[in-house]
Amino acid sequence: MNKTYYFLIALTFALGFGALFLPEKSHTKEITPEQLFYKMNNPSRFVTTDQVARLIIESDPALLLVDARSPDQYRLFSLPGAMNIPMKELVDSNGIICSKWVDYLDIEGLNVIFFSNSDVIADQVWVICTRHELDNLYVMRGGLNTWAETILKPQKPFESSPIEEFALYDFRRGACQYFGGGSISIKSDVVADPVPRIRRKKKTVVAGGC
Amino acid sequence: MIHAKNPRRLTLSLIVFVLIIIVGLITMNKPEFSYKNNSAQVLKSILNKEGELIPEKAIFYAEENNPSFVFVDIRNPYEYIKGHIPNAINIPLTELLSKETMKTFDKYVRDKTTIVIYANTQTEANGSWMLLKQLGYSDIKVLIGGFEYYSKELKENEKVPETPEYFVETPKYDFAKIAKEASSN
Repeated sequence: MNKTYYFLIALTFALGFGALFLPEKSHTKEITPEQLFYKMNNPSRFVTTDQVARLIIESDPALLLVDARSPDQYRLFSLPGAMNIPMKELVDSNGIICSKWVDYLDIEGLNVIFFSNSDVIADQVWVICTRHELDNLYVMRGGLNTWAETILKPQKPFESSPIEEFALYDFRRGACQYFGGGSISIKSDVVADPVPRIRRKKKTVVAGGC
Repeated sequence: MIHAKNPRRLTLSLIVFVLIIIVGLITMNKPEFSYKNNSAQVLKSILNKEGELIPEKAIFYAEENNPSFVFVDIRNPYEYIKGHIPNAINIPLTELLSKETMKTFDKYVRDKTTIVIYANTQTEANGSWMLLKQLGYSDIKVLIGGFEYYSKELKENEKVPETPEYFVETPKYDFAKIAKEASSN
């Protein structure tokens, strides 16, 4: 055999051997810092309380609300249908998002909205989750404090406000009733008349006959 | 055999081949930015609040022009011109990962100067602060309350309530109670 063949064989072996010592790549799914930076700068990651209210009322099937506060606060009050992912328990000791949360968050087509009392904790959770390749994540701007101010206690706009403000106010009042349990006061003196029942007379069987 | 006729050309092409592989290996996988801290470390520094700077301290440091602190305004230049913390430098958010910014930051790291990131609110600066934290900058803080609170505090100079307004994550209301009231109205 030609010498060059030996050389080629040796070279392939050497390269293969070298591949053994390549630094091991971490298997965690992560986006690059540049991608994270790009996503971070996209203002569409914030949604307003009105948008969230509308999605809940429409019972959007692709919506997942995530309460990032502590379990104690979650038990006292949360948005309807929200699940609790306390920020403290978001990642394990290796810095990977716990698989029990990923099962909920990593569903294709699902829009996840994070919220907390304000939007700082929700935003921190957003940054961590986005780094780990989760998509369609949003932050509710202003959090529950703004939720209380806009949806639960809507302020009447000034007389001189544009018509859109009034439309928004009407929506918020409706939403307030929806979330408050919807007890629209009904005047008690208006009672519907009892529906008269008319019984059919029994048909008398024709007597006689052949 | 064909190559036996011209062995020199074969060796030459082999050398070129090996060179290409070596050059490829050297230049491969060298991203400009990489994470130095994993999410567990970042979460830990969020929870122990070491990266937060309260406005009272910020005002104090800014007024005495403390050389161990530098305020970085990440809002756009127009907002910066309208008003900013004294001696703050302006690095618009879009320029955060540019080469010049990195050079500036590296200089501060060498001088052991604490970098304080701020924008109008804490949320606005939060992403940049967390990104830099993950890139390995340890001596970096975020101004809580943001410039909104900072500028307001300067004007009014009132007594601070028990839980200062800038701790935005404290619930302002008893939500369950309000929800009940909403249903009874």
